[in-house]
Amino acid sequence: MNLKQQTRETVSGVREVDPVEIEWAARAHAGDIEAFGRLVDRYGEQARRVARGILGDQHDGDDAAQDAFLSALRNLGRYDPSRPFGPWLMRIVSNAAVDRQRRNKVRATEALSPSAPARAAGPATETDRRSMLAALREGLRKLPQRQRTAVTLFDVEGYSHAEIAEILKVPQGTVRSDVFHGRRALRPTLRPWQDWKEETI
Amino acid sequence: MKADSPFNHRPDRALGKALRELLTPTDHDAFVSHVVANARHEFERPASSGPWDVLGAWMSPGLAAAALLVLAALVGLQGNRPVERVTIDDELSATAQNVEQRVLMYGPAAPDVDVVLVSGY
Repeated sequence: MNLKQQTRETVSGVREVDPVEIEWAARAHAGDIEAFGRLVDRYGEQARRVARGILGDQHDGDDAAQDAFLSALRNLGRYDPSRPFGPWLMRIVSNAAVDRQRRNKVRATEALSPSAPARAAGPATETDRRSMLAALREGLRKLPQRQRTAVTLFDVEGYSHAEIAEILKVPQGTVRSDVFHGRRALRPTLRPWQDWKEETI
Repeated sequence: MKADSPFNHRPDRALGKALRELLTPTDHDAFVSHVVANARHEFERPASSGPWDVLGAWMSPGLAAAALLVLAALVGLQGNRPVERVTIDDELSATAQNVEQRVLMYGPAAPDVDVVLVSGY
């Protein structure tokens, strides 16, 4: 699902409240599991990406995302409908992932396997793509957890610095710094595959 | 400012695209079904049970526990029955009239001949 289709942003980059989401949240809070399912359908991929980015492990990330959705359902009474749903949910996702990371500190990190190819690719291109993703995965894994979260929320999910500051409960300046340092560490991993990068944009 | 400058305040499309490809799952529908099923399991069960339901649920294990307790008590009683042994008190209190056969048979010292004769054994 395209992010632009599911969120509405103001000129300043801060999301507007989506009345449909508010209705789904209200119905889910009243016990309508189907309405809850619509929220999971809308935010499932985003929640899993953020949790996977934080944890560096796809299974743990998915478990954390699921924990977050169930936690959100339990706590829908605390959701302020005058504010957009996405950042509120991403805060829960971030907390669930960090909590799981603390619990799994000892466990060895399992590799994030790249998802299915986004386009048809020949053997050489596919090998390059996999190598690039492996390098990116390794680069992501080496980043401090908050930088991983900030870069994922900013560059992948399109949240603004202000929203990420709200999600992570840190000052905006800290978010800018985390995005800056995270990008600076990750960009060199893409450089050897510059051709791929230019081709796919 | 270069497009890929770390200072750029706009999302980095190339980095974002690569990260998205790395992190995006391929089984979205299965995930949604799984989460919804878990939510249904957690939130659609009966809100509360009446006291009789609770007591009824407790009845079977309660009966089993009571039966075990009775069995244990019986075994305990059986095991704690005093073993008949000849003690020094038995010997001292043995007279010709009240001496028992076991005192004569198992006592550490040979009984007095008068006691044996009068006891009638």
